[in-house]
Amino acid sequence: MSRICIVLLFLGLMSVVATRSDAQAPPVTTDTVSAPLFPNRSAAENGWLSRFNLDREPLGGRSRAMGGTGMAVPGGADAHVYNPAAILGLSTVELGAEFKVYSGHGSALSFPAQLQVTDTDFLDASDYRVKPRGASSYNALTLGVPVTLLGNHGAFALSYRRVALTGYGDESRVQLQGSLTSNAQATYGEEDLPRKGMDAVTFSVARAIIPQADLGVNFNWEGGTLKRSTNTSIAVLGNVFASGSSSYEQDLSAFSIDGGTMLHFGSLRIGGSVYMGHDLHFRQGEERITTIPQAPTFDHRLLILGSPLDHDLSVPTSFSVGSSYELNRQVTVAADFLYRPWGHSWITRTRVEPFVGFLDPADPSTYFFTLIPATDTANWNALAGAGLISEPDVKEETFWSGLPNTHSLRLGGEYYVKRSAKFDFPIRAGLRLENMPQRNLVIPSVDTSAVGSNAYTGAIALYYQSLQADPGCTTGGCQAQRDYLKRMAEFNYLNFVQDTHPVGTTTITLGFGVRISEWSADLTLERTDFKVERFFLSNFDPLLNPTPSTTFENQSILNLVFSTHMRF
Amino acid sequence: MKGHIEAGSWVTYTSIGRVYRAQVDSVSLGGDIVLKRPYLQEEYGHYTLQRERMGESLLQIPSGVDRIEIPAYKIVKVDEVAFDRARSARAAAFWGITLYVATSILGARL
Repeated sequence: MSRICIVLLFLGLMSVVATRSDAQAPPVTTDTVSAPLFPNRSAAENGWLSRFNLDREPLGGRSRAMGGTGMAVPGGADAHVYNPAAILGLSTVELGAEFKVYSGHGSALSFPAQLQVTDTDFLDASDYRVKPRGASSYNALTLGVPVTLLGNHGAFALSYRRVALTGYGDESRVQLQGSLTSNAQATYGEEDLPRKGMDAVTFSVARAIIPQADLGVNFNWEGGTLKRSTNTSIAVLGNVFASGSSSYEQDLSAFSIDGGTMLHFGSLRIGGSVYMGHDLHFRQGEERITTIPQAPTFDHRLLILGSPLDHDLSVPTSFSVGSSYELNRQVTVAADFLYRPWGHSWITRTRVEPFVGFLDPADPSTYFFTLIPATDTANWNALAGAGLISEPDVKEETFWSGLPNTHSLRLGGEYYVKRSAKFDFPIRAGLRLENMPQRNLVIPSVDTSAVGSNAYTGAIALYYQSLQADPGCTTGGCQAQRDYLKRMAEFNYLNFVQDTHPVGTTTITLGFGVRISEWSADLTLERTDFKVERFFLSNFDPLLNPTPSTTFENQSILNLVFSTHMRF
Repeated sequence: MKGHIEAGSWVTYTSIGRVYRAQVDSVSLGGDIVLKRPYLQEEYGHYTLQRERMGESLLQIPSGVDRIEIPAYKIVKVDEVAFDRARSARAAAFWGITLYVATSILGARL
């Protein structure tokens, strides 16, 4: 994701910092920049979706507190999210609502000791801190109706549920100090706020086929608006003297079908379901970046307007199996496994063709690149006519989405402390092991002698040197450098996602429920712990931040989920 | 009869054009209800009682009846019309959360 320009920020920063902290802020002039100077890609390539989680969140107080198991646990309308056949647990008309409150904490396990600002300028970094932000969100409204369907026990369910948040927000800050800051401490702070997300309206129908087997099907209409915004500020001696911001918004929609079955063998139940693959359509995107005013005068900034390209994300077919066993009237245990091959997800969008060059052939720092989309017919045809685009008739492009597999193993148990016709009091606990959609990031290197932050700037230098020796860029080495730069320019964030070490999470769940006659309520506490490698201070955009580096962080998210049901 | 049917509770009992207030003396396992200390509250179609009570500054007009017995077989139908605090609290919690979630959804989508 494009964010804040460290380069713009610290160039000559502190020759003025000490005096600026007491001075009046000057008027800031703003230049608006848009395509082609700021090229458009898809939101995934720009990193806006780095925290977007398309995995189905557990639903319903009972199954959520049992570690998210529910594949073979008969329940109410909530249970459709795991297995549509599970809604046959309905015995009367039931209305339910659920919402959650979440917060978290984090700590940095490692972060760079220095921030490289230019080829020769560095700032010492210390006291880097990160903290997930708290917020609340609705989860679902559900209605379940048991019926007799074609002479056998059946049920309908209608639900409105949150499918996926844009992500969890966080705050990070660090102290920077060096000759550029006249050895004064500058506090750099960032606030990342994903908002909204994708919801679904689901109609479910299930029917007992034979006494030992049930079948069910879900029809899901998914849609919503993804939104994410960031705010950045620089403070010296407690005075904020520069700030910037960015925002992203895009609509998405999809339709999908799930099928499921549950088999009954006395106290043992076995469930299975399949979520059919489909396409998720991203449309009408907008992004806006306001850079921090440029040092040392702080009187000029850029307003960058972009339109993330419309694209389709293929959602792979997922399978789930599970079982539950009632040890006796008071104790139930359950286990599920969910196979979610997000690594086989692809993005399809309008093809773009990157061009890399140098404004001044004698100066490697004057590099530029631009992306020409196939929809820009005039420029596309002109470049195709000049022989600069291979296969110009191909105007769509499909590539890996950068998502990891997120298979999930879930275990849970429930114990009824009190169980009677009018009053139930169960307690529950569970464990969930799975991967996060958020990826560990790695800075790739194009040259074994150029490591770490030299990934991009090093490639620029190498390409420039190659051009000096081979102006036509005809040798294999020069073309390899150019291809690398084009790939970096086009896919941007996706070049940095690591596909060998996904972010593993451990989630522990605890909860209890109360049922009095027709009314019930459930309270669940979920804690998810994970370690993740992320960009330091800013997500990467080569236009804004040519020297990326990473941190290693320990984070935990705490969810407190309330749900209540009424039976009529 | 209207009221909380429990020994010691005051209920309103209507019979043959007269409305009594009385205290529940006992409720048997078989459903027989015995009322004690009944006093007249009003008579349908007449204002005599009200005039008498106001004219003599009386709070209660004696009914002349010591006990009212209602055998279970005479109870044709029981309607639960009383305000049940526990049940109302549960309903309020449910509808409160449901309304909050519905409002959140509408707020996010509209």
